[in-house]
Amino acid sequence: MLKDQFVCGFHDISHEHYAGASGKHLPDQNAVDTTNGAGPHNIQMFVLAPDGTVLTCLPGYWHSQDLASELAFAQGLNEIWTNPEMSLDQKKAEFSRMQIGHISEEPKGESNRSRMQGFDIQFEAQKRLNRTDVFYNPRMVDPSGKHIPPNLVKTTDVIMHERMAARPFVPYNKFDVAAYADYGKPVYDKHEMYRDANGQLAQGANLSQEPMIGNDPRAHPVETAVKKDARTGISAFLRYGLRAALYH
Amino acid sequence: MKKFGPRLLTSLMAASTLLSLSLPVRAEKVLEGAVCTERVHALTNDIDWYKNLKKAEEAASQQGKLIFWLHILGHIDGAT
Repeated sequence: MLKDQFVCGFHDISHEHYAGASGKHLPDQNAVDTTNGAGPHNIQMFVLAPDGTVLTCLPGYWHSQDLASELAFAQGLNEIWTNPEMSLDQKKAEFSRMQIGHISEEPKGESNRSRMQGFDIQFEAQKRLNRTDVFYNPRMVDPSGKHIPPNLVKTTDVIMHERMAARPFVPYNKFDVAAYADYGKPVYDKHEMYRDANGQLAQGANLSQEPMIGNDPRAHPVETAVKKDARTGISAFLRYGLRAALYH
Repeated sequence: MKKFGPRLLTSLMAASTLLSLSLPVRAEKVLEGAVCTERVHALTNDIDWYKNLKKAEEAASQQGKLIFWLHILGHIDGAT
């Protein structure tokens, strides 16, 4: 489908301010399956019209069958976008209606494949309960994040379509990726390289030495050291004057 | 525009996932490197991946297609 029906491209976001971080993987290293919408800070899959208008954006990982469904859905949205009979306001209204409506039209099982990871739910409950949109009724949510009934938590397909519904036909260069893809923990690490075929962590694995990529100090050791030195110097200058800063 | 050899793929085709998740303990099935290599090879060899959005837009306009524009950590032809 991708090959025949889409023009494909990519953008490395590892230096973008909104990017998260992850263990670094080479092409021939292990991988582990996960749930739809996991790792939203690290991957965003846009479908754009040829004029750069965002038709949809899938945050994080997506199973192939669900991705295919969403790609087909984006093609339907493009038909609205290119409909000469509709005004811009009509198009935007229809976009939002279709995004919400698609939740009930998804392939069987997509909702089950879109359950948020437990640590992401915990993060949202603990860190931003008063402003998150991932819960159906935040007042019923345990702020410790420990005892949250599943029926209080939106699945990531719901989160995605609700957020997209609020962003009808936005140009890509004006799309607020940072806010759109922000839920859950910014750092993900499944330590795939340290797992055996059964998925167990190998004994003696030194996880602290795992190479990282993205917005994590371990991913940029030289940059981190330079910044640390600069901060130390500035701190000394403010306290003791220029001479101290020069000799710190 | 660049055509790539065997590379690690993003999670988009349910092949190698490039995400890892903080797990207290969860023994999930691991896709071994050889499998990942094969799947990445299949995807990146069959598809030409643009790195410039403007050029992708021009191509999409000429071909009457939509654009699949992927944000990833790293490079689709290298470490992710």
